[in-house]
Amino acid sequence: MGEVAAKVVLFATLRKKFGVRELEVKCDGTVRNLIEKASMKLGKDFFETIYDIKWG
Amino acid sequence: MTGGFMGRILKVDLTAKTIKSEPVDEEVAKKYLGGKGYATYLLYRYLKEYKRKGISPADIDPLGPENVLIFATGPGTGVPGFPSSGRYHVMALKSPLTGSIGSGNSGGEWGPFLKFAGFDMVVIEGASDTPVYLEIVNGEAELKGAEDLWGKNTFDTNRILKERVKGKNVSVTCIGPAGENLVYMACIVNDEHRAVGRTGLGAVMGSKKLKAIVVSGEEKVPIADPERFREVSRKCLDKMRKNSVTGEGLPTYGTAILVNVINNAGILPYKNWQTGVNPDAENISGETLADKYLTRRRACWGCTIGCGRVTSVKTGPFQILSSEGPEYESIWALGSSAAVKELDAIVKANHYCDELGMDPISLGSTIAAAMELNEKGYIPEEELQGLDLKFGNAAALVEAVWRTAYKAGFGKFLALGSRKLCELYGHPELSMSVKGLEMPAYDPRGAKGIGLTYATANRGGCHVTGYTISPEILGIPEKIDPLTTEGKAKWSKTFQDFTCVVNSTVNCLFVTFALDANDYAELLSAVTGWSLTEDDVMKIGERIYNLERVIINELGFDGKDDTLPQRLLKEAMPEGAAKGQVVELEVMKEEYYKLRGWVNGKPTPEKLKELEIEL
Repeated sequence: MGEVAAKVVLFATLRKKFGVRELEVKCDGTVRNLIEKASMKLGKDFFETIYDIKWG
Repeated sequence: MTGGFMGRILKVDLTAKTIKSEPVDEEVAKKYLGGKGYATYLLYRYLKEYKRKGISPADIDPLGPENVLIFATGPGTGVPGFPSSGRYHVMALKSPLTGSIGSGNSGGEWGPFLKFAGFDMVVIEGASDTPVYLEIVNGEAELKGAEDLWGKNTFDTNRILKERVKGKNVSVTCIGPAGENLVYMACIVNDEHRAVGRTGLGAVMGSKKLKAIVVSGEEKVPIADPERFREVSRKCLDKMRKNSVTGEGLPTYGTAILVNVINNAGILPYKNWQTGVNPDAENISGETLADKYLTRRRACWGCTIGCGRVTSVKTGPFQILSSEGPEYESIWALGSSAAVKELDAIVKANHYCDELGMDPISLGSTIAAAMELNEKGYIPEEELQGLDLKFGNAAALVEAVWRTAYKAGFGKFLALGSRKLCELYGHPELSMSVKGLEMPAYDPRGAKGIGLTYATANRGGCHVTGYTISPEILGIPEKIDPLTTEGKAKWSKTFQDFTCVVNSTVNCLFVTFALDANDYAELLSAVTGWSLTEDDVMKIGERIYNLERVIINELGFDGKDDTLPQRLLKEAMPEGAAKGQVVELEVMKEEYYKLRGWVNGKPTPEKLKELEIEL
């Protein structure tokens, strides 16, 4: 699959924590890559919050 | 008496104006716990006695003196350290709204304070010829005249009685004008903003001319093994603190956190369930409520979650200086269902529901049904008497609330509930109800398991009977595909049985986001002194569910009533994540009946024997 444009929409505590309602990212179409790409804008804490594992 | 129980049931005959105390039967409590379980056992005994006297269950008038109303706590209620145990359960033999069993649950302080006043349960028989209230103080009970309280709203009633009964741990549960006026969806309100919401139990109380029950006392709930209990309690409360729902989501946003989540899943019913996507969901979301109207949170007795919202609308036509809520269900019913996008109007309408004593789910859904009837031209204009019931009309929604409570103008039709309203205007298919109880805020075309739960719930369209939204949408305890029917029967049954345990322990259902049946077995064992395993606890739950099912079978309900509105079975979801879906109920129902050991919605004799249910 080639690159796709996706929107990440944050609600409730995630919205409060990261200070954004939604952001657009380009990713390879997998959920993991979507979160990784979003984390490049929101910080590694976003990845670690979603996956409950250390980034990297 | 075994730990967790005060050992006494108060029995009040309002016709004869007699009061007596009976002991809690420990053998019954071992099989049914307290709360919903014990109350269901008692209701079956009443039904049996009525049949022996030649009174057919079908002939019992839900607003007549034969109906029985039971206020019940359980072995967890009021035990300091028992997770979120500030609750009580109320049941009636028959609901005026549905004709099925009446059942509801509430938080606040009243449940624990009933136990501190010396009693586990209060059973109300008969009907008074004049308004009365019941005072239970330090182990003694008395009926007093309530002529001066009749007509008052729940807030005034609460304040007057709390002032009148000066003592420790005073709490009032009461009805407002809606209950007095026998509105079919009237509820019972305690501590001003907590309610036994569903199935019209406020009207049952009103039919008995029982205005309120005020309790006060300082007794302590006994614990069989305090040291073991402290250890288990600490472990459970720690689990709840670390859980993302009970430890973070609910405390921060309350149940309103669900609005955006459920809308995003494409199952937030909009315009009387015509679709599951609300374009204005953000306006009425928990995030918006927190930003604009929240002043602080509030917790029920003994609860570490604190999901209650204290709110205020400072300016505008829907100003309300202090209120509580609205909850997710109220936001949906008084908002999304009616396509109202003004959150301040929803706060106001919800406040009126608490003040006047009405179930916002049934009321909001009935108003939405009326809006669809009106927009399609089925209601003659003169019958509306000027009430412009159109989708999105916030002012009409707020007006409809008080008109319903007082049966004023078109309100007298709204007061019947959506099933009878829609039948009256020739379109019963527009009532989004099951067994006459309006369904709550999850469209099962996008979460098939909740559809099965709605269809098979004994009290009617109910989500808390078995909250399969938890795995289907929230991924707790694990994520399952909401759009398949496979495996949903097992989930539904498991949740229904476990919820019976929760409602018979009587603590808050929300703790089950973090705690499981094994936790309940450990907590209950430590409090009561019984040795319960996870399997024992689940069997108790299954027993309670089946006995309740036997009661509704006697009331005339069977497999044909375990169904859903045609809109959900035949009309495909037009948009969103569940686009194109309908509910394939029959395939799930067949599997469910097999798992339950039921034929045509009735437990078989073999199943009853297996569960040790003696009829």
